[in-house]
Amino acid sequence: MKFRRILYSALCAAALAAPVAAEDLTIGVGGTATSIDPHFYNASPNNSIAMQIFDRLTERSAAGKLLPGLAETWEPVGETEWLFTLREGVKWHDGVAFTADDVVFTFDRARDVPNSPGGFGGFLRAVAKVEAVDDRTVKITTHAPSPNLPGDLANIAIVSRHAGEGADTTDYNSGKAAIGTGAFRFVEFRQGDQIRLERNPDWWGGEVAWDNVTYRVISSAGGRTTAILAGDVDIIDTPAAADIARLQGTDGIKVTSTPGLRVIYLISSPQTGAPMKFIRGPKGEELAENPLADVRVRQALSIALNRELIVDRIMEGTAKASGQWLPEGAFSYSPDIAVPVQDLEKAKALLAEAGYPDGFQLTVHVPNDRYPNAPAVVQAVAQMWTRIGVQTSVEALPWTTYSAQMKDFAVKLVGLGNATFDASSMLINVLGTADKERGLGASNDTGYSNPKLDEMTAAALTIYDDAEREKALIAAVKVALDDGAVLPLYQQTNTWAMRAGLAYEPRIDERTLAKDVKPE
Amino acid sequence: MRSAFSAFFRFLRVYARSPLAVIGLIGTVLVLLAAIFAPVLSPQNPYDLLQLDILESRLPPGEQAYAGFTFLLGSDGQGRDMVSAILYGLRISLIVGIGSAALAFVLGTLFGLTAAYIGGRVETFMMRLVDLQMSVPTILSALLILALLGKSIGNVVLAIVIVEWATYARTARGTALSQMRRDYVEAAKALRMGHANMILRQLLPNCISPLIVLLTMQIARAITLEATLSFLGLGVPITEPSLGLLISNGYELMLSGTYWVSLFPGIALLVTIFSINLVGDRMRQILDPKAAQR
Repeated sequence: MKFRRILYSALCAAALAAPVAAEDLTIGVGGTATSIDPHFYNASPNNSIAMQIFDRLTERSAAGKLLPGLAETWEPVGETEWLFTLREGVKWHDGVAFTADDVVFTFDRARDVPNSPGGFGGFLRAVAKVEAVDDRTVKITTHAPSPNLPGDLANIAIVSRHAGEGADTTDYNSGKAAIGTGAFRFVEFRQGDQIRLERNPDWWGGEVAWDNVTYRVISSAGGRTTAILAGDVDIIDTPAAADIARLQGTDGIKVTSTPGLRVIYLISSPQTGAPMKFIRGPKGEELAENPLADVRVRQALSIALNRELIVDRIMEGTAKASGQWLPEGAFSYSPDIAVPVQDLEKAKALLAEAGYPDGFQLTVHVPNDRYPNAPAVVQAVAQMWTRIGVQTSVEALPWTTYSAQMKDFAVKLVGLGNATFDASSMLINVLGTADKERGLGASNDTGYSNPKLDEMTAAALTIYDDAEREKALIAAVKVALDDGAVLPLYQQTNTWAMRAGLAYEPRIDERTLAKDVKPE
Repeated sequence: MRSAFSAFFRFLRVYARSPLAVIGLIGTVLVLLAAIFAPVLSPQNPYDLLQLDILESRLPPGEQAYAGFTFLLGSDGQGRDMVSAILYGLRISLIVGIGSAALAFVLGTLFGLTAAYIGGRVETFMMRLVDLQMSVPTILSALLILALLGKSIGNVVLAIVIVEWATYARTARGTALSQMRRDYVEAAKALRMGHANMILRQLLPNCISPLIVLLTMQIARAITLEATLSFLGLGVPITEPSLGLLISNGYELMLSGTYWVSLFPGIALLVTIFSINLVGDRMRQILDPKAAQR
């Protein structure tokens, strides 16, 4: 009797489920997410996954506009306080109700995750105190006026206290603590191979199109192209520049792209010390001083480059040449800062003026598995610098080795995602004088220090008026560029290729979000 | 002197009985000459950044260069002439291949002969070291060594020597063991010949033929290993590409129809390895007493 009832109900369930076939989505991604812990590593592959399982107080649209997330509204109270009002009726994946206390827990945890290779503390730099006023209201007190706070918080995934208390990164990777409020639930994480997710039917953001989602890691660009051509995956990110024309010309595949936020730049170490290992005199002799400490040398290196040519020949149009680190249209982009024009004569004159008429020898480092075409770009840079007398050799290393030795390099190629959507992440984290207490220079491994720039940055970031803040930021950007502190080369274009019948609005922050892939 | 010559010619006559082996020998000689005279034969020095121009990148075979010559096999993504790049790349591949194989040959042979000569527990210990080395996958240990020491041509040679010496040691010891019981060894011992003399003057000449065969085979292997390491991004510097790195550079462009960037270096590598292997194979047939065909 009992058995028959079970059989009957199983048949019923099957009959009900049958008309709605399970919709599966397989995504081929180039970057490997190193953890499910959303506070472990601030890198695009990790964030792409975190944005499926978890939500943030504020969210960004594909174009970078700030949208309500778990917080419905927010407003500044006085100079140094913000009130966030949370969405009602949101539930964690395990059914427990989401409250303001989870936010308090999150902001405490996200600051410092053990063994994190690059965490989220920088986004919470301004935060002094987080309090739950009631279940639906969070009060955040800041050290100084912080108009950027809602934007910064769009980077911090909210985790639950009941699952996350005492949990470490491995508990998230195993799924034990990976309880979010997001559009998908965690199913399985196999690092470097694949991540599987399933639909969260109770998501506050509405219905998503997919029952099951698989993120498959295919690190070689050629491999991704082959996978989409063969129909093994439904959508891929970052196809190789050389393959884009072929993909566009293939029936049943479409390509979508947008200018991205990520800037690829060269940065030099002006300090004398370890970087001198990679700088020699024109005949290979030791130098007493670091030529890169001279602003004229840094400027000469900048105007020796033909950025348009690099973008045209090597990036094949999948990037936009730039003289500043923000793309056109972003907050604190300045139309007055042109792409530097190549001027070899002037570059040579500047070198001679700085005391290096015969140039010097230089080794430039570049990661060979992180940014598309980066080794080829640096070889082109080496050609151009050699023409002004700076005999340049190139060393390409895998990212794991590269990142461990980065602080000793004389000149290196790096990319920055501009996660704050304005000039400040470069000004604070990369160019700020390294100072833990002030939350400055978290990624400053070149020893660059410009007190005037630090002052201008700090002042700009306390201005609530958007137009005034933008003006102040642009002034700081100009000071940094005139000082040759960074040599921006180009902003990458973010590209996705998918099978016909799917639509994905290209994101400027290069994240691949299953919840936003829609059937047409 | 004359008898040495006539022995050599007799060897050549035996060798020439296989037409395929003759083709292999001609191929090997041509490849060697091409590598030696690379600077004369190349229209461009592909390692001199001043001679490269990014404006001439990825031109198909037959295009004209600003410098006046023709890109007979096209140019790569940096504007390097593929002919020059292949000739220079061949040079690096051969230097690394021959250099590391020769070094491994010397070290491995001495190690193996010494083990066989000493015998007893020392021999057991030495040969377990060889077993240990041979139980680790080749690529894995080469990658590990390069990751620890950093990238440079010298380190690539070192890495290949470290992973290859054991093969020679094992062969040398096996051959020497069978020689140790021979009368001439006993006679030399009775004469109280010194240890070094015993190993170098008595054992080595009598064990050398299988080792020579092994050497020819291992040169080809070492070149392949260098190409593999370069292909994986752990070999030579990217501004001075060897054949493996040239193939790797072009690999990404395969789907877009820029076939010449990896196809031609691939053919060059294929011809090199194939020729050397043909020569090695024939040497084995001649020198190995067990091989039926002479």
